Amino acid sequence: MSSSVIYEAFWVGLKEALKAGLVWIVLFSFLQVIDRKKLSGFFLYGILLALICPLYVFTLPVTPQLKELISRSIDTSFALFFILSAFLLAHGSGMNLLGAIERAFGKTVIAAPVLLLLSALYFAPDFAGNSVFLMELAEVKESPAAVYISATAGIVFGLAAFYAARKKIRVDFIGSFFGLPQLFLFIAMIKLLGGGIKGFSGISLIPSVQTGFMKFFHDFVHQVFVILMVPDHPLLKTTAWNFIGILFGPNFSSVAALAALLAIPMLFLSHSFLGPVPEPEAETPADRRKIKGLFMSDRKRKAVSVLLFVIFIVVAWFSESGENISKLYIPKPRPVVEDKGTVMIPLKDPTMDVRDGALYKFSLSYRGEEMRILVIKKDDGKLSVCLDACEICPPRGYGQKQGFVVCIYCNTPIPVATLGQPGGCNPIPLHVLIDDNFIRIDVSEILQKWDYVKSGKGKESVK
Amino acid sequence: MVFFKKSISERKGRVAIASFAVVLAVTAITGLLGITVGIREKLGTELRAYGANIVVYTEAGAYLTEDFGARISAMSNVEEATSQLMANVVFENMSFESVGLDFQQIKGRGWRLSGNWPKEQGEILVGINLKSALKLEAGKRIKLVGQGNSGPGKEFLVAGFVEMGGNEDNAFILSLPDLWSITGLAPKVSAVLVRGMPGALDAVVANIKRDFKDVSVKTMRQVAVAEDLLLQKIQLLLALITIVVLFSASVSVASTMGATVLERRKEIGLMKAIGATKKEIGLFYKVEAVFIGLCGGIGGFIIGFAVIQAVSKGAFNSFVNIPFYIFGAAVSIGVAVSVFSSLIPVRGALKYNSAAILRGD
Amino acid sequence: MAFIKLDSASKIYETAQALRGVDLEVEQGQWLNIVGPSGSGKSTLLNVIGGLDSLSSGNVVIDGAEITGLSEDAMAVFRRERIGFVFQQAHLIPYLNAVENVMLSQYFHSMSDEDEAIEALKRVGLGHRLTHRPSQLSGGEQQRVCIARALINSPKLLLADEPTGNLDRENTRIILELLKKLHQEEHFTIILVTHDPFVSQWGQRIITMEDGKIKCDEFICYL
Ligand SMILES: Nc1ncnc2c1ncn2[C@@H]1O[C@H](COP(=O)(O)OP(=O)(O)OP(=O)(O)O)[C@@H](O)[C@H]1O
Ligand SMILES: [Mg+2]
Repeated sequence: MSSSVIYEAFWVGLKEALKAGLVWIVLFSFLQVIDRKKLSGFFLYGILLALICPLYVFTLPVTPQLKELISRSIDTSFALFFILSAFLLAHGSGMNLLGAIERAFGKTVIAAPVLLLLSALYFAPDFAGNSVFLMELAEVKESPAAVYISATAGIVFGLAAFYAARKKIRVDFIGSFFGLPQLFLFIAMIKLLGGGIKGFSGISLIPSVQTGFMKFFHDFVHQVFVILMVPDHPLLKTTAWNFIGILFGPNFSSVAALAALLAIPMLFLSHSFLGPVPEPEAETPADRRKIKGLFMSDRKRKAVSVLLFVIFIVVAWFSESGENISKLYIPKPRPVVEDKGTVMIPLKDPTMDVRDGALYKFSLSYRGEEMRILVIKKDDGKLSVCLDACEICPPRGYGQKQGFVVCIYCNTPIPVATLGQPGGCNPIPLHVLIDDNFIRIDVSEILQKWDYVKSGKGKESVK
Repeated sequence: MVFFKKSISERKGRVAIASFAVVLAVTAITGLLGITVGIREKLGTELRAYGANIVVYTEAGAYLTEDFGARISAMSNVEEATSQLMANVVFENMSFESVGLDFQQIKGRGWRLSGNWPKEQGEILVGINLKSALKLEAGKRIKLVGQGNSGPGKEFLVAGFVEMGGNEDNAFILSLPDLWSITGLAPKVSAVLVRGMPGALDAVVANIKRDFKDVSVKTMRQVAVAEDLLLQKIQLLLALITIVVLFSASVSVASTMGATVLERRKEIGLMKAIGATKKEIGLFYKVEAVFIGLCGGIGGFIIGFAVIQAVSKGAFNSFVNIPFYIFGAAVSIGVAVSVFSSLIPVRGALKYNSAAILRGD
Repeated sequence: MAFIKLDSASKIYETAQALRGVDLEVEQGQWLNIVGPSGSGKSTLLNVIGGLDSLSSGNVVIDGAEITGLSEDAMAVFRRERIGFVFQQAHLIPYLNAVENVMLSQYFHSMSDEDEAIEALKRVGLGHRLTHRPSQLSGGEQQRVCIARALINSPKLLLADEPTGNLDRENTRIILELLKKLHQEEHFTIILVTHDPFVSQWGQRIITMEDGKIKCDEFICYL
């Protein structure tokens, strides 16, 4: 087990180093090609600035709120780069949006601090997230120093790999693939692929854009109705709301998320491949063809990274919305706290209603232990409250899929109607009191049953 | 573009042969990946939802007897024990899995039911997948015959349909006496599912082992681990096969490409003479290789998919879900194999001296 | 300075010495014919000038660029922009039709342009054979496709190795008339290898090779 911890720490370090190296190489190539090589130093200063972040994070206690904050900032920083590139792509596909900005970027006084800031913003959340991850790793490990050492080793190794490869890299060749918008898009993409905390797998793009849309539509429609002061007419309730409800649904917003992410790259692509080609002046037809050919191949090269992005988005959308969203819905646990030996979970607050049929999870941090509880409404209207774990499997918890909750570890589907049954891979039921506003659970009840989950097997025995 | 298209269609035969080799390789890979992610879902899900944490059974083909259940439930630290019989039954000349159990004892547990819970003997539940496949409805009477039993069979009333996400979705579920009566297996059972007190599982297992000889007793967690191991062994075997197939596919693609290259020496010389660089000529072959990889990859995925489903149908009597990304993985492996193995012959091709090839004789 | 300049160019194969110190200067726009007995090194000389073959010693300068030291790919790039080739055998790609064969040359040069390719075929009198494959064309027609292909990228130099070697007198005349017309319109340099005295009269200069050396160099009247 301990060797796998060291391996993970090493991997995290390696990943961050390689990511930084990759982004740096591309940025450097780009600056070289546009003859602004000197600016690339500011990118490195940005990384240094971002390194302050983990130094600060290491002094903080790891709480769910901190993790939430960090994962938000990772999403936001991706969004920032994506929006920037979208803006520039739109500019590139015909709408001249930024003559002034372009001129400003020509001046080092403006370009350098902007680059420094962007670089810092890009890396800070990732570095912070991985610091938290390392801190958590160090806690389960007998000698925490080993974790940090192996992470450092990963970083050194990654940087060395890049340094060694540097001579082989054809900078002008790479640079010819990038314009400014493509550069931002590429950087956003790297973030998406390698930006998640820990591994490469955690692509949170589609779900986060999607929830953004769901919330946006929901709020927007609500506001409109409030402004129009539409009364809560029964007719409106049944027909209109059923119809409008589609907008809040996961399917609609996941399509909207796809459309939003693809719209501008597609515009750019169509411009690149179908747009008019200037008819250059030249002595012979062959010379004219030559100039035209150069123009077109440059345009195609610059479209490559955009095309990659489009493919990537479509694949991510299919695999995420196809698999995870419509099939297995795994909500983020909401933190709850213990008060005088009781945990009180509100049935309803402005952001949720546990009786709406969706799966809800809550997490309780207690004496250094994090325990999860799941709540879901059954068809008969009763609430089922269980631990987010079963007797058999390592406690990875459950996701929701149609009328089932599904064990994430072993894939066993448990019909929602039968929740509350003990044993097997059923979620372990909790004894609770439910009144008009709250679900009340004794902390001792949770502790005792979670202890059983842990001692029964834990991660080690079933790998 | 038209050059690439015509260049490939000119060599349809060779391209087809090379694609076929890639098809075989990708079929094997799809099989490997599909079994890894798809069939894993299938293993053991059905038992887990019952709420048992210990299972008692004997070697394959042999049976326990019914009184085991009663005796085990009388033991200390045992909350309950249910007996189950798995047997095949024949309905309209087709064979189906069936499960015999005690409806009253497991009522509501782990089942999603449409229709009614069987109240008396002669009433049965049917897996949801069979509902549409066999056009059954609640209240209908159907005739089932025990497979391999010469008896006349019996009519049953379909009380409802169950959905569990496991094998039961493809099976008939009968009460134990009913299944005995059509199969003639009374009083045998296949397994006893035991719910022991959490925390005292080891003691219960030890007690059962002590009291009953010649039975296997496993906690559910042990079953899970054993299934994991089995899966790993299957995977290892498949991985070996895949390596062999991949290797022979590469050789096949390489030799096909080698032959093509030889045929096209004049063409290569000419292209050089009209000013094509090595990279640009290589592109013709790369396009061809990618095309072969794509055809082979897609074809291989389709066949591999069919094979997995056939295997799964045979072994688990149900189909598996193959995630979308496996398609991408299969196709990219196909392309990679094809491009990689055409590298060497194409390298060789680019070395020809065009003056020698084009010499006017 | 001369458009083409060879300086003691030698080519030694394992079995034979094809060129023995050839010195040659060709002016821009000149039509030069090379004649000589079989095995005297005519083709080798042409290939060396076109960069299809490399020299054993000496050097070649074309249009101010020393091509002797160029890598194979750099030579290919040089070739596609400045040199057109016509061979005794047509060497057309069998599965492409006439227009596509011309377009292939455009494609390697920069990008293909079908209208321009059709126009070029019309100029060599093949407006009615555009979508015929090489196997459906006569030898003379094939050779005219080759000329269209060789000239499509407006080269400064056309190298032709026995372009009429496989043709009858009538077709030979058509080809030569065509070359003459194009040469007068576009002023590219022509170096043409032949052993046919009839053909060698179509030009401004004849050099005679023997045993890898230039034996005789004479200017004639352009027919
Ligand atoms: N690739 C080669 N390897 C060895 N010897 C060669 C090679 N190419 C040409 N030679 C030799 O070099 C000499 C010149 O050949 P080249 O083809 O230049 O003659 P040529 O004047 O074009 O003859 P022809 O009129 O028959 O075409 C010949 O003796 C030939 O045998
Ligand atoms: Mg010759």
